[in-house]
Amino acid sequence: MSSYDDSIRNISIFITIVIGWFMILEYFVKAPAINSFAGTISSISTCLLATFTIIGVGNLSRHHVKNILTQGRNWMPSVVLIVSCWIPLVIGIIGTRKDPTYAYLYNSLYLPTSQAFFGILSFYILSAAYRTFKTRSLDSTVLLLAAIFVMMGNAPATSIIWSGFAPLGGWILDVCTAAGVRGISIGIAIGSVVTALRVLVGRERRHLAGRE
Amino acid sequence: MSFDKLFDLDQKYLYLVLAIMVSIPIIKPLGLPVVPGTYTKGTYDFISSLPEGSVFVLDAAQTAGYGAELQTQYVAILRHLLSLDVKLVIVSFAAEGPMLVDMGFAGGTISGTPVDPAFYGDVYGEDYVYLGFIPGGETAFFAFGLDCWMTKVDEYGTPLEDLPIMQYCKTGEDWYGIMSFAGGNHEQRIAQWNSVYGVPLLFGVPGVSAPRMYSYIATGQVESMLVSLIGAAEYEMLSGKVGLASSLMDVLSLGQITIVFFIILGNIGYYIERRRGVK
Repeated sequence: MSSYDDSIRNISIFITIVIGWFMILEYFVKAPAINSFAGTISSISTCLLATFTIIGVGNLSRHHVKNILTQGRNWMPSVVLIVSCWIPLVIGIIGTRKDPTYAYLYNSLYLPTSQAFFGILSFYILSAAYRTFKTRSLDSTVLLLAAIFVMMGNAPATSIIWSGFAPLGGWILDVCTAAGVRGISIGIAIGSVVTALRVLVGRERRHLAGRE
Repeated sequence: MSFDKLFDLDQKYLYLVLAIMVSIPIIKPLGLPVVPGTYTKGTYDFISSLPEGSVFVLDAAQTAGYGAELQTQYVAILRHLLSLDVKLVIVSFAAEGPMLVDMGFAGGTISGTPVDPAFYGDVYGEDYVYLGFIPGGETAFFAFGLDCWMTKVDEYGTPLEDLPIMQYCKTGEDWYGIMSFAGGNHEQRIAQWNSVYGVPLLFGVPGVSAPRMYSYIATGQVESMLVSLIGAAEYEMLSGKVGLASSLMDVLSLGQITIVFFIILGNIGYYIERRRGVK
């Protein structure tokens, strides 16, 4: 690893520490000048994030164009990717999203395709549930009953069969699910705080492709 | 077909039955009952009680994939808000937002009939405004709360100083409430808007995201939410503005009942096989 790379990495860590601590402390301070400066930094970050999208599209295109030119592995899907990425992009940049062709591509191609993908899931769920959702053990029986009550509770028409489906399904979601999710959320939050602290003291360097 | 085969149906028959079941209400609506749930009532009560002239922000971050769930919710809420005397600021934190916001006003396959603000006596720039797409995820949530004028112009290029409504909306402290229609990044929104400004936060979420929200509602960090298509249909019923979601509820109900029916059928077959000693 060259000293140049080390210097760049050290500068990045320095910027991260200074900006990171400033943004944390800004939360607790009510001073227009400091709050406004924090706003400027966040605006710069927003612009940077938008710029990274351009870099991402550039890298993706370079990789797939190379694959097409060399007729490498799965080069046909690469053609589909390049066409479906660049045609809306160019039309969108030239004509904005108000362009009839862009609107057509979105409303008549992208929208129905996305909807169809989600719609197809219901068929797979039916097939998978029919074959695998069996009362093989106590655990799977509890899971099965919970799934049935939640599903029936979410289908309003089932109130005709039994009015207890919705309250019981609601109780499972409000109490059992909330308790489980709360545990997971607290675990994630503690992990996030630890990772953030490591970044803010310069100990976490993996995001800079560096060794700790 | 023998009795045994009934419990080991080929998947093409399953697909066919489901396709028929969800097609029936599309051809002939059944008008099955919709009973508003607790969270939909909570959302409706909050929005109905907005004070006159208060600023309410709609975060239209719905995407095409979640369209049937989130776009129907968005349209149901939009109709209700436009009928109230509130200052409505619409903004998108998802790239597809502008297309779907336009579709909300103009009508479309996943929006239903057009929503005409003029019908409710609302004037653009005075009663409602659309600020367009702001990229950046959580950074953008933070920046927008700090400075609602960060876009400088609205979606259509009009400077914000020329829009009277924006005089009432400068920072997150001016918001009376905010409702996000998003498939993800809910925790980041809670952290940047509810925790910082104490703004009551409502969500319109797809079915898969709902379980993560229950604990936040219990703690009061989230006021209430609409869940999936059913939430949109319930809201339409409560607000008396029936739209696309209500007409799709029969499809959802019959689809769910079909899935539960086949789960029970599969288990009856499994039970019979076990009694016979088949492994």
